[in-house]
This record gives sequence, C-alpha cells and structure tokens, in this order.
Amino acid sequence: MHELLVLVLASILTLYLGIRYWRALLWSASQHKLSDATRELGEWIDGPHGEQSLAVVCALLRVCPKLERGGDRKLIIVGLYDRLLGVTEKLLPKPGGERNPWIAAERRACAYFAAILLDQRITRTSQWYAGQVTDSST
Amino acid sequence: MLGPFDFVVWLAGFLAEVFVLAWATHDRTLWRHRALLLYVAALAIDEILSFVILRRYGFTSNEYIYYYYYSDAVLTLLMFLAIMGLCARIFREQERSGRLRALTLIILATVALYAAAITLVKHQVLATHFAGEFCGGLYFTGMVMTYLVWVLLLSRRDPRLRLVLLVSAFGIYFGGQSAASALQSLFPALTALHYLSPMMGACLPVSLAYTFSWVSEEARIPLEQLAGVW
Repeated sequence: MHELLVLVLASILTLYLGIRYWRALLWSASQHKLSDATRELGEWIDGPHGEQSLAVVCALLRVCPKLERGGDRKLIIVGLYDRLLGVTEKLLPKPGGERNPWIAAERRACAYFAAILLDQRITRTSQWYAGQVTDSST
Repeated sequence: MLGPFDFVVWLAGFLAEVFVLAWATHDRTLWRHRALLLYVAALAIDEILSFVILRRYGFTSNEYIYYYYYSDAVLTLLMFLAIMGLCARIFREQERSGRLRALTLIILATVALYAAAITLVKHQVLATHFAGEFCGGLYFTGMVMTYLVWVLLLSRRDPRLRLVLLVSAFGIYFGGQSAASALQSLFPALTALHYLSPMMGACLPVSLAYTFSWVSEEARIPLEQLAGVW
C-alpha cells in the first residue's frame, strides 16, 4: 500500500515536472530571432493557420542545402511531439469546431523551432558560399 | 553481468559530468552553483570508483553491492545540499538565504534521521536492505522538497530559465527514482525495471550539461509559458 502510494505520487509529480521541463526547453530553443531570409515564414507561423505549418517548414528544410553531417535529431523529437499534439487534437472534443488554443500554441512553437533550424542552415550555407566566392576571386 | 546498454548509459553520464566540470572551469559564472558542482564532482568520482570496484570484485559481489547503496545514499545527501543551494539562489534577492540555509539544514538532518530510524526499525540485520530503503526514503523526500522549491520558483514573477531547468531536472530525477524504487518493491521479478534507475541517473548530468552550456544566466522565461496545461 505504501509503495503504491509512493508510485502514484512520484508518477504524477514526475509527469508534471516533465511537461514543465519540456515546455521550458522548447521555449528556450524558440527564443532566437529569425533573420530577414525567414522572417516572412515566422509571420506566417504566427498567422491564423500557423499551427499546421511544421510540414511546410520541414519540406523547406529538406530542399535547403545541408553542410553538416548527421540528421536533425532535435527536429525528429519536435516532429514527434507535433504529431502527438495533432493526434490529441483529433481525439479531443471540439465545441463549435474551435481549435484548442494551448495545442495550437504548442504546434506553432514546434513550427517556429523548425524555422530557426532552417534559418541557421540558410545562414551557414550563405556564409560558406560567400567564403567560396571570395576564395575563387582571390 | 553488465551489457553494452549499461556501459553506454554509464559512459553518457560520466562524460556529461566531466563536461559540466570542464565547462565550470571555462565559465566562472557557474561557480555560483558551488554545491551543485560539488555534487557533480562527487558523481564523477563515484563513477570511477564504482567502475574500479566492479572490475575488481564483480557485479554480484558484496563489496560492489555495499559500495553501490552506501555511495548512493551519500550522493543523495549531497544532492540535498545542491537543492539547498538552488533554494538559496532563489531567495538571494530577498536576503533570506541565511535563515533559509539554517532551516533547510534542520529539515535535511530531520529527514535523514527519520529515514534512518524508520529503516533501522524495519531491517535491523540486513545492511544492504537498510541502505536501499534509506535511499528510497531520501528520493521521496527529495521529490517533495524539489516540488516545494518549484512552487517557490513559480511564486517569483520572472523565473530564471536556468533555475527552472535545474529544479525541474532534479524533480524529474527524484520523482523517477522514487517511482522506480516503488516499482521494484511492487514487482521484484520484473528485470526490465533495473534499467530505469541508471537511465534516470544518466539523464540528470546530461540535463545539467545542456543547461549550463546552452542556457545563459540572464535568460528569463515568462510564467505563462510554463503554466499551460495544469
């Protein structure tokens, strides 16, 4: 009985703090300002249907040249979280067809996070290209 | 016998601890979290010692079992000191850190004595059981204490992101260890549960490494960003 009580309490508190930790991580990751290259994308994410824009940002990421090796592990985790939110939204009842504001805000944060990755990739590629052009001219 | 999974988990935790200590020598602002750094240093030393004892005496030896449980109890007590340090950081601007330190020390001593007394009554002979249950009690108390620190943190108007991440990471660690300990008591035959505790143990230094290296001391997180679900 004592162990069961500890298990229930510990599970609730761990889940509660786990969600808080994840939110803080996502928030800290999405605090970077977007450059001119992706500013319009950021405005679009903030728009009325911005919560569904992660797929578009991911498609843009795929077509953007990538200089570094390895996959985008962070994006995989964020993509899974976005999918989980999408499924939750479908399962939750919608009074009057309205979207859940919390889920919409979380999905926007996911899309914004991907936009930051895209922004960083564009910046790195531009810098590399600028370096190449300078090298060939000198 | 330890498998590749155990080794990878051990290595990840150890490398993260070394990284935190190396980062602290590079970034002097981290010296504000002295108690936390002391705990990480103790963790790193413990990893080396436990590895040496494991290699010399084996996983099922009494030497290793005794070392594991008693070092875990000492490390948990050191972690309490680290949480106390975080508490002092929260109250620094309100000039209550001296009183708070004294109060926390009293609470810590009471909790340790209480946990020891209860466990001694239950297990007068088996020393490893004593250490195991003592740790379980400490984890649970640590979880409650961390949650209280979390409430204190939220009561501030502009919580520092670094503190938010540190406190929640400790809370997840204590909560996870308490849950793992309770699950092991409820289902002792379930071997998969034995992986939970080392994984939680490795996650904490990894989380500390991320927080110290990526999150600046000045970063603040608005309360509404944290209070979204419940």
